[in-house]
Amino acid sequence: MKVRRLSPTPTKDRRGISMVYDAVFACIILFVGMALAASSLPPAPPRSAPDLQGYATSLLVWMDSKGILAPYVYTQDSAGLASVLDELAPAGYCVKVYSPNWVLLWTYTSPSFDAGNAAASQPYPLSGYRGVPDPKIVVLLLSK
Amino acid sequence: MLVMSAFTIALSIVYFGGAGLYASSINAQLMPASDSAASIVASTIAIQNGNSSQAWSSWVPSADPSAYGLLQGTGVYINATCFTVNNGQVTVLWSRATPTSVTGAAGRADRFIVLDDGTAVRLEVLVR
Repeated sequence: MKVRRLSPTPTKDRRGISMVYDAVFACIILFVGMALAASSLPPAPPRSAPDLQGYATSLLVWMDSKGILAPYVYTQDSAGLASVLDELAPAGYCVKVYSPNWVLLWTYTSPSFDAGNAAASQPYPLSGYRGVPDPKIVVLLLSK
Repeated sequence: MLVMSAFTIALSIVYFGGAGLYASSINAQLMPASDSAASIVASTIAIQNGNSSQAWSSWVPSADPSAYGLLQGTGVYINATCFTVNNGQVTVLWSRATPTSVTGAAGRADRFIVLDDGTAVRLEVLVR
């Protein structure tokens, strides 16, 4: 009886190609599954920062009581103000100075300030500087 | 062999990427709770010492979570610094902190407390 032997080469090639297809297909399933899992994750809730509002207001009150707020605000000395707030603020900060009509006069923002995670102080009024009446409103924003 | 290696690498990337994504998502979900825990600790310290400069000067920060009603194993880091102003310059009177900091993403609370002698305390609390 004559036995017909098949050549191993075509079967081996087919098996190798089949493994490549299997691996590619498995990777596609993995990545699709990961993408679906990532899309189904709920978005992170925003971090509340109610303590920063009180912090900012207390900081402005204290700085004014110590006489170190008005000089920086009225001379627009942002460098001096930054040197003070770098020590006293918890992280990033932004100072906004307004006229009594709420026109923004000038602002200074620290590099680490994160506007999306910030809280603002109560508007803090300044009556003037060195005996000259010149009302301004200061708002301090702090971020974690 | 090459196919299996590539598949193993891809599987590893997906596995560790997925685990990292899941961990960061859970951390983000728990962050408001950690912030609240840190706020509780900060408020507890602020209430205990009030605005008395004497109470604050003798105060020693404790990293024991049970002292603030938190579960054992909770990491607590407290850092307090007292400031005053001399000749228009902000100077540090004293600074105290718990020995070990909290690593990784942690809840945070800050307080700025004006004391009865005109100085002020910056209180930072991290809870993980």
